[in-house]
Amino acid sequence: MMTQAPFRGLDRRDFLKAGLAAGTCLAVAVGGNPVVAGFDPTRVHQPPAKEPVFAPNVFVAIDGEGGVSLTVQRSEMGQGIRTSFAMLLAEELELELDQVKVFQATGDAKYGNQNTDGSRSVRTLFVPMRQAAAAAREMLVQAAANRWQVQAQTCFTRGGVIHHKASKRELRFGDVAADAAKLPLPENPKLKDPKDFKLIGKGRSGIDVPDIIQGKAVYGADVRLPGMVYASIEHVPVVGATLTEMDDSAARAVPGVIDIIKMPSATAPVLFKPLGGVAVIAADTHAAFKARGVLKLKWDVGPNGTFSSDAYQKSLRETASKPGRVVREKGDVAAAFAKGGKQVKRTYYMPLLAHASMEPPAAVARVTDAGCEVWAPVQAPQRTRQVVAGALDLDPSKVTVNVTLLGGGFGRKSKPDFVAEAALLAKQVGKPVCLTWRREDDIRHDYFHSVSLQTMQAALGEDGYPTAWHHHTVFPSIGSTFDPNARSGSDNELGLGFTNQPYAIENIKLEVGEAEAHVRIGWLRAVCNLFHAFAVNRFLDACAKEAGIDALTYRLKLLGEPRDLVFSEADEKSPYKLNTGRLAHVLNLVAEKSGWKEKRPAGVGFGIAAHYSFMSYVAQAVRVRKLDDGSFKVERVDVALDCGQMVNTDSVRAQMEGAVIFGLSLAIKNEITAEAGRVVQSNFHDYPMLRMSETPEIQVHLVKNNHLPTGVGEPGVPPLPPALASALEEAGAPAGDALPLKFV
Amino acid sequence: MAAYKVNINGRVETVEAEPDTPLLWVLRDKMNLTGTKYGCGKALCGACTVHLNGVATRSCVLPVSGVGENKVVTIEGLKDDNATRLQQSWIKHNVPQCGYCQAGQIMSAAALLASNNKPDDAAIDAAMNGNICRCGTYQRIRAAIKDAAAQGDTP
Ligand code: FES
Ligand code: FES
Repeated sequence: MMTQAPFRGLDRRDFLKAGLAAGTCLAVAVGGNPVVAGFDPTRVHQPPAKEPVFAPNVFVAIDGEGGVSLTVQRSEMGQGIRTSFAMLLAEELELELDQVKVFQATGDAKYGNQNTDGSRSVRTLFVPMRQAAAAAREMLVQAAANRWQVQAQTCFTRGGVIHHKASKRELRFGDVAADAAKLPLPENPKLKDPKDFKLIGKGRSGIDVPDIIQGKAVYGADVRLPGMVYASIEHVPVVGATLTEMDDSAARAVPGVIDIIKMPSATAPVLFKPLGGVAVIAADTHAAFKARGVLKLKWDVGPNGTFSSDAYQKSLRETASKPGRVVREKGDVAAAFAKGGKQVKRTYYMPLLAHASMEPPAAVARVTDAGCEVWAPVQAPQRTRQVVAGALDLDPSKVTVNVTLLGGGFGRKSKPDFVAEAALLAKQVGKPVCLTWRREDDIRHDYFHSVSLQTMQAALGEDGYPTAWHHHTVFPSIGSTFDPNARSGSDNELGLGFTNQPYAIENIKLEVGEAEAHVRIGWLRAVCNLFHAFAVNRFLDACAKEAGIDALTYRLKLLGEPRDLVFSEADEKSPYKLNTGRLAHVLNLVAEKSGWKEKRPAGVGFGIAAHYSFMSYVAQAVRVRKLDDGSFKVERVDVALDCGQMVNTDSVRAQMEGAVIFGLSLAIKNEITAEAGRVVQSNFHDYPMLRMSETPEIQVHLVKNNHLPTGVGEPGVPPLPPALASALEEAGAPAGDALPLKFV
Repeated sequence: MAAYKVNINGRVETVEAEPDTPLLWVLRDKMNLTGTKYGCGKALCGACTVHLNGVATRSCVLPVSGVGENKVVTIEGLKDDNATRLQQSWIKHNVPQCGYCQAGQIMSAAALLASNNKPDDAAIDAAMNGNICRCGTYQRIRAAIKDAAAQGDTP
C-alpha cells in the first residue's frame, strides 16, 4: 500500500493564501517583457491563453474556457520532470496529457522547495502535486454538483467535462470554474487509487520534444532582448588568483568590442560567487571570445597555484595510510586481521571530473531601475534569486529568475555563479547582457566532482567470505566550497555509499581522512556514490575472485536475508530504508536478463555491480569483448532498477540509458588534472565523451511495484564503472582500480 | 565589418559581420536563429550542425566569409520529407533528454538520409559520430533514424 507523505514545502496556510492570490501569482509567473518581434523568450513558460478564473493553489489554474495549466516549479534538464508533473496533474484531474498546458515557475519561495537535485522531485512531490490537482478536481465537481443540486459523489469527470451519471447532464470545467473558485479548499483531497491510474506508470513522450526538434526550445543563451550585448569572461586561471597587470589595448581594438570589465576574484569561501577575471562585452559572442584571446593578463596565482594532480594523489595515498576519523565500527577489525588467513588489499582512485553539460553555463540578464530580471538554466531558481540579489545589493523581491530549459545540468547548474556574473555585467554596461561560457571555461572552471582515494582491506574466513572489512576514504569535501576549513567528508557525503554499505560482515571499520580542496568542489550526478560504489563493488569482486566464488553469489550471500537496514537515527525515522531483499532482487533480475549464469565464450568478459542510492536499487551487468587488435568493445549493458512507483516509465528508461553512457564516459574517458594550479583539459578533444559508435546495446529492466517513488536521475550511474572494470578484467584487461580505465 | 549576402533557409539576407565570424554566431547573435547551438566552438561536438548545400557542416568553424552562395539550412528551416519523418520518429522514440544537442543530431541525421536512404549501423556511426549527446540518447537516435528510413520506404 502506498503511504502518503505529508505536504511538505508549503504549509496549509501558505497553500490557502497562495490560492487566494493565484491571479496575481500567475501574472508574475508569465509576465514577460517586450522582446524582438517573432521571438518570445518566455516561450518555455507557455503562458495560459486566458486569465485564470480558478486557481486553487500556485500550481493549477483553469481559465473561463476550461483550459488547464500547470506551473512546474522544478527545473527541466532532460529528466522529464515537466512531463512527469503534467502526468500527475492529468491523472488526478482526469484529463488527457495534451489537455494540460505547462509553464515554468520563476524562482519564488511561494512554490516551496525548487531545488532540482538529489533525484527527489518525484520522490518528494508525487503526493503533493497530485493533491494540488485533486483539490481542483473536487472543487470543480462540487461546483457542478451544486449547480445540479446533486451529491458530488454521483458525479465524475473525464477529459475536462463533469458528468452526472443518472441524469446524463454535463458541464465543462470552464462552465463551473468561477463557481469552484468560491468554494472552500478541501481539507484532504482524495487521491486516486493506484489501481485506477491511467497515466501514472505508463510511458509518454516528453511534452517539450516537439519544440526541441524544431529548434524552438529556449535555453540559457537563447533569449534575445532589445539592445542586448554579448559577454564572455576570461576567468582567473586558479581559484583565488588575482590580476596584477592588464593590457587590453589589443582586445579593445577587436571590432565589435564594447567594453572590458575587471571582475574581482572570489575569496574563500567561494560559495556561488562569480569566480573573477576579465569580462569582454561585445556586439556578438564571437567578438567577445576573440578579444579574450588577445588580452594580456598577469596573475598572482595565490596558494592554489601549487596544486598538481600527481603530487596530490600521493598526498591522498599518504593520508589513507594513516588512521582517520572512524565513522562506523563494528566488532574488532584489528583482531580479525591478526588471526591470519587470506587477506585482500586494494587501493582505488578516481580523479576530478567536470560536468560538461552539453550547454555550457550561460545566462541573460537585464538590470533596470525596477530591479533585475534573468533568464537562466538553473537547478536552484530561489538560490539564484538570492545570489543575484546579493551580488547587486538588491532586495530579492526585485529579482525575477526565469528558468529556461537546461541543456543538461548534472549538478553544475545548482550553482548560479554564472547568473550573478551576467547580472553584474548587465548592471555595469546598462544594457541587457547575454553571457556565454566557452567550453574551455566550463571544463577548466567547474565546481568539480571530488577526486578520491580509498584503501580497502579484508580478511577472508574459511568459506571465502570476509570476516573483517576495513575501508578508508579520502576526498576533498563539497563542504570546502562553503567553509574553507571543511577538510573531510560530511555525514551526508559519507552516507552516499560508504557508511550505508549494506553487506553483512562481522567486523567492520570505516574511516575518513582529511583532504584540502584546491579547486571548487561540487555535486555531480550521484556525487560520492560514484567513487564509493566503485571501490565497494570492485573490492567485493577482488575478494570473490580470491575466494574463487562467483561475483553474484558472493553479493547475494553477503546481503543475506531480506531486511531493512538502519545506519543512523535519521534512517530510523525515514520511510525509506535500505532493504537488502530489494537490492538482491535487482541483482538477480539483471543476472537473469543478461545471461550471467551462461558460459562465457572466449574473449568475453562479464561484470556485475549493484548499488543503492537516492533510495533506489540498481544493478548492472556489463559484457565486453576482446577484439583481435587487443582492444575491448563494450557490447551490452543490462540495467535493473527498482525505484518504487514510477510516473513516466519511458523517461525512467531513458534516464537509465543515459546513465550508462554517462557512466561509460567517466569510466573510460574522463579525467581532470591540474598542473601548477591550472586545469590541463579544456574541450572535448582532451575531455572526451562517449560517442555513437562506442554505444553498447542497453537493456533496461524495470521492477514494477507500488513502493514509494524514489530517485531516478542519478542512481543509474554508480554501478557502471565497477561492473565495466570487472568485465574488462575477466576479458583479459589489467585490473582497473584507478579511473579512468585507459585501455579500452 | 562587411556586408554578406547569405542564403539562409531559402531566403537571401544581408548581414553585417566581421569576415572571420563563424556562421554559428551570425545565425545566433545577428539573425536570432538560436536553434543552432554552441557546444565546443572547435568542430568537436556537432551541436552547431547546419546544412551547407545539404551537407552537414559545423557552423562554429565556418567563417561567414566562406559561406558564399551556398545554401544554408538550419533546424528552423529543415522542412523536407526526410526531416518530417525524422522529427516524427524522434517524437515516437522520445529521443531527446535535455534536448540541447538534438538540433545538431537531427541535422546530421537528415543529411545522412538524404544521401543514404537505408543506412546500416556502420553508416549511422559514421554520420553521427561527430555529434556528442552528453545525456546519452544514442541508442534512441539510432532507432529513430532506422525507423524514419523505414517510413521513407513505404509509399
Ligand atoms: S559547437 Fe560546433 S562542433 Fe561543437
Ligand atoms: S539530449 Fe542532452 S545532450 Fe543530447
